[in-house]
Amino acid sequence: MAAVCTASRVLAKKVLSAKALPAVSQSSRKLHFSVYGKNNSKVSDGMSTQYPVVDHEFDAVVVGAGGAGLRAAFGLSEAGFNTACVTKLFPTRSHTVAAQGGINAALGNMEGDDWRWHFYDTVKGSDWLGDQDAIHYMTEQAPHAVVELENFGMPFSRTEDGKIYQRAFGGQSLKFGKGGQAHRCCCVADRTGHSLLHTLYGRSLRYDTSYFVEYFALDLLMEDGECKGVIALCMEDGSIHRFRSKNTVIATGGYGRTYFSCTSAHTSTGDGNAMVTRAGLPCQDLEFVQFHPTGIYGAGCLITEGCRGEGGILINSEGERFMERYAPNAKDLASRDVVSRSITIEIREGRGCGPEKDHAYLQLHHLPPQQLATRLPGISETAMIFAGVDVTKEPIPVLPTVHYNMGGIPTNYRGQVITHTTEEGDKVVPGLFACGEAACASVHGANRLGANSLLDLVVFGRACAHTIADICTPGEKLSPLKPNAGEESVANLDKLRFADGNMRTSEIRVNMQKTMQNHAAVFRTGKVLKEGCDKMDAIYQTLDDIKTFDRGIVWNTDLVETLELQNLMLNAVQTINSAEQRQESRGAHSREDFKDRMDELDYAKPLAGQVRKPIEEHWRKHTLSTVDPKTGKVTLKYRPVIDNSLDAEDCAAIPPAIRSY
Amino acid sequence: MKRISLSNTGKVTIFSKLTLTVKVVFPGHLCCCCPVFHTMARHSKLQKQVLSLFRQFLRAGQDKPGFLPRIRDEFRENSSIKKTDVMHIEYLYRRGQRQLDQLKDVNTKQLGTFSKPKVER
Repeated sequence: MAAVCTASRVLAKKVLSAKALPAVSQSSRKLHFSVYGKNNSKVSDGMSTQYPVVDHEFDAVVVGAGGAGLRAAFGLSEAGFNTACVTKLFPTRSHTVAAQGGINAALGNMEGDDWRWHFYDTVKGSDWLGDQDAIHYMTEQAPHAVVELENFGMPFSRTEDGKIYQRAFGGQSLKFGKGGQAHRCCCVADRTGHSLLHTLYGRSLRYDTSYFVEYFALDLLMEDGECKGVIALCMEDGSIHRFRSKNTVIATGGYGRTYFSCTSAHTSTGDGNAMVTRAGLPCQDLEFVQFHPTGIYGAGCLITEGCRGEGGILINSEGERFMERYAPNAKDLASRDVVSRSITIEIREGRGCGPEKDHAYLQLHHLPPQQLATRLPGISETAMIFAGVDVTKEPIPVLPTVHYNMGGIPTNYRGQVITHTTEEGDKVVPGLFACGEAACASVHGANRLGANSLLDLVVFGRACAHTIADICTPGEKLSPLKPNAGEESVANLDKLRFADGNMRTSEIRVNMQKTMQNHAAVFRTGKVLKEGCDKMDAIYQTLDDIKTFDRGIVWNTDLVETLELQNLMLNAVQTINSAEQRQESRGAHSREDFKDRMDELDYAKPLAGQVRKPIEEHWRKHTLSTVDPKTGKVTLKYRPVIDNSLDAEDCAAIPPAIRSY
Repeated sequence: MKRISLSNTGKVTIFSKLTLTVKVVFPGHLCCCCPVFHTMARHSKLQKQVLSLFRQFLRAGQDKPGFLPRIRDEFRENSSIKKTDVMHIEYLYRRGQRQLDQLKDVNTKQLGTFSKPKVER
């Protein structure tokens, strides 16, 4: 503030000499780096915009402090690494806090259970697009992870004999789908995410991680294909910070805010995906966006699947429990994509509820009120505040709403980020790791089962910490980094800070959100998607015409929102382009013009005598998308799914089959 | 080595090599009848805190390249804030303390700068 006043006063006095300086838009090479105070002869003080850059050196840097980020950060500190955790929000404000449902683990407290049945359910839920080695790792570690959380002090709901209460959840079955509904979702009433995050935060205070709170990570520092750290903007005082380290873990969460109506917080802007895209690395499976069946109509707030797990049912305008027709066995507890599609079909066929017949009802008033009070207190309150509904008397109006991104940064089962070439296959990017919703391991494949995400966070957060502990030792010397590393990020920051076009950030954002909502929704058609791709491309070009208002550097939220918009746009163009190219229906991506799943063999018919299709001709493969940030052009490649589990004897891989509930 | 001396122009010399211009508004006044200029020049509590913070910053920034010039620049720029604007000064003081903790941290290594020639708009 005073600094800006002084600078402007100084500038007003000095007149710029007649040096022909190129236009601002080409200023990406115009920044000059030097150690502060020395060698400033090229640029005299009064005539330059200066961005002080503080350099830090750590053994490991974690970007993001949600469930996965905190678990990775204190896992690393526990292993003796000097760790920094860079986050744009205070840890307990990360979006993990909003998770309601629970965390799946085959503990067997309600009935006999086996993690191999959980493995089968997850593989089936992912519509055979999940990598079975990662799923094996996650489901085998699940009971251990939940017991570890319980030992950290997480206040799980309890059964009569003091064991962790497990409720029914969508897509969970016993005996490989043949034994009926399984009860394996460990929960804390209906605020599991809140408890999980607060437990992890409390636990993390025991270790000596350095937290850099309210630091917005701008970009990765990449050199020769290796990740050497992160560059971030301190929002409090406007200084730039470069965190050099041998290991960087990205745990920045998803990008729900690309859609107009979503259950995500305003801060879910896909920063990690965008950082990786700008570094030239691919993102995986971004077209798979999960629509949660029960988001409150209008507000978009989440009503957990746990309601249906406790016995809630979905009804249409005729009062019929319509899920019995779409999923005869699992009924309301079918997989989320099945339920979302069913609700959308009911509305489309004219059996929607309300004056405009555009939503469905979730009925809970047939359940005993004390069960609602003990097991579902949070949603009772949410329904009252956002829908004005008393759940003990009336049903809640619900609509499928964007909730989760199955896709993200591609990693192997150990949490290391990978790229893929057809000649060499999967190749690890040294120094870069990812976990949580930002990563795509891929345990969720084409559709995520409820309560698997919180499990994903803790298991892979811990896995990243373990992998780093295996590969490196604390206190290793860092490889040299170019002194002007991060220059483009600062140039971009400078460009946005003084942007003076015609369109405001909020206008461009709303255009993007409405386009995505209209063109890449639950049911997608080729023509509508193509139109959406063209519109998104046009909107991407309008980013050059952006206008910001706050020219300061201290707490410039206009600048931060614009940076977030850039990140959202990169995610949105990849999502809609990948969706347009994928010509099949699988999991959460359902096409009206290509209603079937296209695998290498037709699993609806007997397999004997069928010829296996080559990978170019079927769609059971991961999409790898890259973007040229200057033009917004998306390039797509594909990568095969990993079909073998970690140990074929302990847990046999599940061959693809027809998916029905 | 500390040597504090006050000159009429209001410059405070703290270390033998450094001169910090503290725009201390002197509570001195010209007496209406006598030609003597009374100078009291005692620092207020807040001024003492700011000076102490400055000293701590200088000590902490000694071995790390790039920090000392920046510290001096920042304090110099902010010295023009009016003595009465206590809210602003306290805000900067709290921010400075957090920045000092970060500077003292063993992982902070150096301060650089990206500078761009300013184009007349």
